[in-house]
Amino acid sequence: MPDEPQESASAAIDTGTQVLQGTLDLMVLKTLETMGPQHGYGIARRIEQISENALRLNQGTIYPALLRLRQRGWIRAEWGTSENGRRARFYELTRAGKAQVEKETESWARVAATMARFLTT
Amino acid sequence: MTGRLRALANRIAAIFGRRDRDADLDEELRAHIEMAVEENRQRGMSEEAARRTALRSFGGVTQTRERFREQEGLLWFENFRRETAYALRQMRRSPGFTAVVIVTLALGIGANAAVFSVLNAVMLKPLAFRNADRLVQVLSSKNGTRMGPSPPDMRDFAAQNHTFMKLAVYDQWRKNVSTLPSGSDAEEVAVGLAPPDFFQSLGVEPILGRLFTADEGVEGHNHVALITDLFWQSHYQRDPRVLGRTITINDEPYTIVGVIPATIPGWLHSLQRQLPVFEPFLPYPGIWDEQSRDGRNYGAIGLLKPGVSLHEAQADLARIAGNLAASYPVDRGFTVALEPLASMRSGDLKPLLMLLMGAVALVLLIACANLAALLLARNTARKREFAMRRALGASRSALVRQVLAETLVFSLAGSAFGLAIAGTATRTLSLADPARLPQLADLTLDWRVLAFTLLAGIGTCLLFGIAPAWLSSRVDAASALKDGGRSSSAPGRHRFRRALVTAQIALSLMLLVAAGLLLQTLHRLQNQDLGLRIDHLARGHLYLPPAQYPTPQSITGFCDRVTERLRTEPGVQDVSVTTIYPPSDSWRMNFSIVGHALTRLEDVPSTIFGVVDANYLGVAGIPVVEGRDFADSDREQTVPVAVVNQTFVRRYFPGEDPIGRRIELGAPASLVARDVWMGDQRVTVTVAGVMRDNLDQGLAQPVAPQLIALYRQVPAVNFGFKEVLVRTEVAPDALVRALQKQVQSVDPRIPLAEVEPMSTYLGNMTAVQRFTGVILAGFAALGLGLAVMGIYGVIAYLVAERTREIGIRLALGASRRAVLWLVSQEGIRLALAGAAMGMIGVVLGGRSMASLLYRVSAFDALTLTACSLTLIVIAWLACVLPARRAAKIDPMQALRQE
Repeated sequence: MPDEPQESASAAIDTGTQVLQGTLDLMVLKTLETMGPQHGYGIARRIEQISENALRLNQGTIYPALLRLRQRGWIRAEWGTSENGRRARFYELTRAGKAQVEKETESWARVAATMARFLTT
Repeated sequence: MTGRLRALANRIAAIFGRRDRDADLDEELRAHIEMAVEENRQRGMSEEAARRTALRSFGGVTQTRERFREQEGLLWFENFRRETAYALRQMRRSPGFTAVVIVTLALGIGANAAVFSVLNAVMLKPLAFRNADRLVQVLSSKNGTRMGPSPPDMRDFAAQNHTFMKLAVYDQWRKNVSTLPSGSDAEEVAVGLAPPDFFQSLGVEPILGRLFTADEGVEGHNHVALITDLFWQSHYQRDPRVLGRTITINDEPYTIVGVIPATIPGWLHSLQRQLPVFEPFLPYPGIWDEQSRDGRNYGAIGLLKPGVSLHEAQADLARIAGNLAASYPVDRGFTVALEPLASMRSGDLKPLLMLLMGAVALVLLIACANLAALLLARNTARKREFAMRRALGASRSALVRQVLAETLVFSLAGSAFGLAIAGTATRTLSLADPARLPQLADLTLDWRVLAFTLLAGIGTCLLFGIAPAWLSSRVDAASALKDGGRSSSAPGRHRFRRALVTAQIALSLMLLVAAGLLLQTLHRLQNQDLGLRIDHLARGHLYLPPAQYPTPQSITGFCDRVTERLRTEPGVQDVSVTTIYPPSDSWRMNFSIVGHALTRLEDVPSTIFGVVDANYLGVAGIPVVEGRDFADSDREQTVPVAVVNQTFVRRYFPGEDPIGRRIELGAPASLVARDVWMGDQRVTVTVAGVMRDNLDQGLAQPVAPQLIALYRQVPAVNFGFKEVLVRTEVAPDALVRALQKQVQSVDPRIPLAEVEPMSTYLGNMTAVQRFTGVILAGFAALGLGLAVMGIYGVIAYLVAERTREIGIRLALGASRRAVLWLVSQEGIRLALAGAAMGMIGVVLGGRSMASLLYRVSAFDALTLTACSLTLIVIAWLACVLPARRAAKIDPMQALRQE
């Protein structure tokens, strides 16, 4: 049975707990929104720090995700120099990306609230 | 959705830019690891531990790279492969359906590819010359009429322009060529007359020896010849010692100085075949004299300087033409026109080919409509399957994609078979060459044809696939699964199928009308009154070279002897030697009517002109309507006489008696000393009779004024070019060999060439139209057949769907006749709507057809009515079968079914 190829490729986070698809994408987008232009390593470290290492992220999985976001036109990439003088690729939100963060944050909030209500009653 | 589209576009782009991207990714990943190592080291780890930890938290570089690539594009292939495999499985499951679809597509696409490959050979392929894009044809133009320029004009263009590298004037003459020094065993071939610039413009290099030099175009130096590779092969077995050998052309010896490749196409000379032999450009010794400035219609080509546009070159030559018109009265009113050389190749075939291409595309459209209906019906049957997959979570776009993948597989299979059909068709076509097109020699399946076929396949897939795919994906999972997929189809599908059939009928009507109009044109061309009796008439061509027949007297003597000899052949009734006969002749003679003084050269009238013998009108079967025919008693010593046609009388002697009027041949000596044809001689002829009008400008052209005289009485124009007409008592084909033998018995060095029945000669003139007409009629029939299938399908489906309703009607007492009418009126309604739409198409397309028609209007009421009625009747017949089935429904059974 064929399904959406985009979704099947986005199995992303290797964690002890089951994580819903698409979460990594939103985390990346949100990271870029708060931190501004950032390279892959920085994004990965930031996600690890924020989640307080609750998510054991294989840092490499960030790269297919970055490409996917780029293909959808939500982020753009540019080569630049890192804080310690290394050549690195920097990612930055596009206008469409900013809109996407807003949209997805909202829907996540809704899902999370629903789940919370569901689980507490 | 737009995000998805962009992602798809990016992925496709990624398939091409992979190497760069791989390098980029590697560098990015390396930077990542290094940053991690550095951070770990700063935290106090050893170099080795820092690296190990960094790699562990990265989680596998190779794996990441693979995932990245998958995201880049491989995934797309994977999905495509899976969907294709699924489609193939579906196709195997219903072989009948698959066969119908693929055969329909193969025929439709094959016919398109075949027509396109002709179009490609005639119009699209770049010319096979080195600087093909810089080659142009040079034409003179007066009052919108175009013709080849004259050599003196071309010489002045060549000397004064700033935009051309080379300009060359050329010609071809039918000459008697023999490889034997004695000149016997001569065959008549078209010999090219060309200066060195001609070959250099085309980029032709000799295989052996050299090209002509400039001074070989001068009288006395011009007895040199070039032969083509083919002639070298057929007459000299590629003997390299051919250089320096003598070839006899018109009984004069020429030295072979070079062999050129057979790359100069015949269409450059308006001939079917390539010319085998070339000699320097010197048609006659006075060709470069001032009196030749008005002798036009030579071939002319030019090679533009690099970077010069056609427009600039045109302006440059127009400036020179303006100066010439100011200096030379005969050039007054003449300007110059340039065309890319490629347009000379397509010639007047272009509109016909465009018509055929349009027609065959319509056929494919009609076929697509059938396939769309077929696919829709099948997908309706598969509704349960779709509903199931939808319920299992497949998105609507995934379903659309799946159905499209299936149609794409069909289309590609259809394209492949279609290409095979086109290949066979074009090979047969170029071998048989029913239309006698020199361009068909280049008929090949090159990359353009392949690309076209592929595009046609994909386009077809989208055309017949998208709508059914979209409509089929509109399944409501719950309800479809509940009723087991038996429910009646949505109204959207009905509307869609009706729209398809209406469009099919409209397109068929357009095809029918086009075919009808073209066939009527053909009929009118072939069956018009040419003004002569065609049956039992043969023609042939003679050329008497000046070396053997230097004087008009000797030419007349030969013609008399040939006439006498041919008359003795059993089966021959009478013979005429002439330069002119219907339906066309291009020789024009300036003249003046005695008593009508002319003061300006540009006022001098010209007429279609020919010189004949006294038998001409009798042999051709052209009646004399006034005065008398030529007679054997009109001799060299008697008063020169002429016969004019009725149009001549109307134009120049309106309301007067033409008999006895005197006409001076050649422009008046007071205005120009040397006339193009008469030179410094003038002959005054007396009109003895008026002949009935006969076609003299071609099949589709009105009759022009014509004057004929006796060659024995006008020696100044008694040239060696003669045509022979033979009126026979038996079928003329049977006499071909005998006639040739009789002429050879008079002089073995003079071949009687091009001997053929007049009907064959005329048939060749309409060959292209006949060919086009037949093919177009075939396309129309095919389109109509497909449309009938479409109507039948829709009505049959309708009957199947309404079985219950019809059963109720019958049970309630409706007559079978009423049911018959109920069903067939549905078909007739569709036919009427289609016909109305088709009429709109006909009106919109009519303008582009008008130029191809002769004596029939593009909006010919009779044709339009007949075609529409035919279509409606056929549509009705297509309904009869399902309607009768409906009328035979057993009401009890129909009601029990539910």
